[in-house]
Amino acid sequence: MGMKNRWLVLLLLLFFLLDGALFPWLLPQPGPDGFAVSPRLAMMGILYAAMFRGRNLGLALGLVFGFMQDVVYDGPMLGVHAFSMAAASYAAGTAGMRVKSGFLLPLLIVAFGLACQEGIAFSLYRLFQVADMSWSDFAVRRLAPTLLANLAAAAALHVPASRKLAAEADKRDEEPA
Amino acid sequence: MFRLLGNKKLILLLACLILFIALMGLTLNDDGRMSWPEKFVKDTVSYAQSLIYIPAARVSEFASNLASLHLLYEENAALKSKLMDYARDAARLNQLEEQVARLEEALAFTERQKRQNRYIWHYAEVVSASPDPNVPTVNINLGEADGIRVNMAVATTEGLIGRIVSVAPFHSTVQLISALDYHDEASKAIAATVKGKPESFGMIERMTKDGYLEMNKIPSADPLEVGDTVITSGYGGVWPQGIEIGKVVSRRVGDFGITHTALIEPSATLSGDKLRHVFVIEVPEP
Repeated sequence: MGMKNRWLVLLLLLFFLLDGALFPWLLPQPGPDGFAVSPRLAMMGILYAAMFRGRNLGLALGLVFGFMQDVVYDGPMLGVHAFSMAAASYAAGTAGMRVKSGFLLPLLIVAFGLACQEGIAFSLYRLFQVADMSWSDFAVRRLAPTLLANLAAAAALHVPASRKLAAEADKRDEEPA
Repeated sequence: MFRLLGNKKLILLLACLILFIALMGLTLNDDGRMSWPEKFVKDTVSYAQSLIYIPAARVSEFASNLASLHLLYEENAALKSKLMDYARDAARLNQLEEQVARLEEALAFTERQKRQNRYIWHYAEVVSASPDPNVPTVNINLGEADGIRVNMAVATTEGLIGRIVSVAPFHSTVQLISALDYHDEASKAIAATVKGKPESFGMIERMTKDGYLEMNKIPSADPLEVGDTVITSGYGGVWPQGIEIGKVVSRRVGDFGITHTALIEPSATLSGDKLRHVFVIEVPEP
């Protein structure tokens, strides 16, 4: 792991801590009507890393942080976040291979990655009958608010994040297509 | 145009999917035991999160205290009248405790039977909350070293909020009762009764979409009424006896027409709540 990636991992760790410790106090908590915003700052960081530093790094980070989320918050089963975060960041990394600049397109890819992650996790919970929410309820009450809130954060952090990541990405991080 | 996924990668992806589904299936109904790497990760992360969560909670409480400063006099008056109730109840409690001790003596209760209802309430602080609404859990700063075990009930001063699902040496995870669901074998239904009507019975098996707890299997002749306070009955062994759950808001004939179903509004604000202080209830081992 290079020096640059070490900083990235430390930052992602901080994001991971904030997701569970600070954002519950800033964001509206899941209400009785089922509307919920989940803070996914760490996931967004991983998506950016996957876009600018290559999908393989995204895959590895998704696996590690996903497993950490599975263990720390003790979901009904192990591996839901590990799989969904790894798969979603790999997909976003693939979609974002040629995108190294601009504003709207990277954000669109982050949105795609987040939606993938939430969708895969939810379908796994449905498969194991842990969640009994319908898909339409999920889309309106979980996915939409989560996407909106996290994309707002991504838009705010986009310029410094992409500049830093793009400036530091060297040739060896480019993988052959 | 580059290829999205090569053949090799597709096979790898499918293999990974199978592997992960197997992992999920195997860990679906685990008993909360953790391996040492899991314990290490959970304790480290939880400790770091407690450094953020608790100050954030203090700031947030301070801000909301400032906002409610003008309510201080009313709150004070309400608390004073409550304190008088407590004084009255305490006198009554002393008398009743004495009576119970005398009766236990008379009925030749063994030490084990006497100890059964003397619960130990461990105070704990919440250090983090799960960001995934599909997994309604919070982590607290008590663990194996403090005598916390899997399946102990957890309550706030308002009422029952959940049970311990996994324990690391210094931190443990509480699954909130909003996760109750009868499809999910891992969630434990709560045997409940009504305060003041011990003959009443029902099983709280899931939380509805609107945030009410659904109490099923109530006999049709049961005295349960709208407005009654529902408490845990202690049957079934997981949940200790006498913890407040909520108030009955409606009662109707159940899906099969044989038993009744009631909706309970939880006393502890479970969803939409920012939890801070909780109690883990330890039932003394026989």
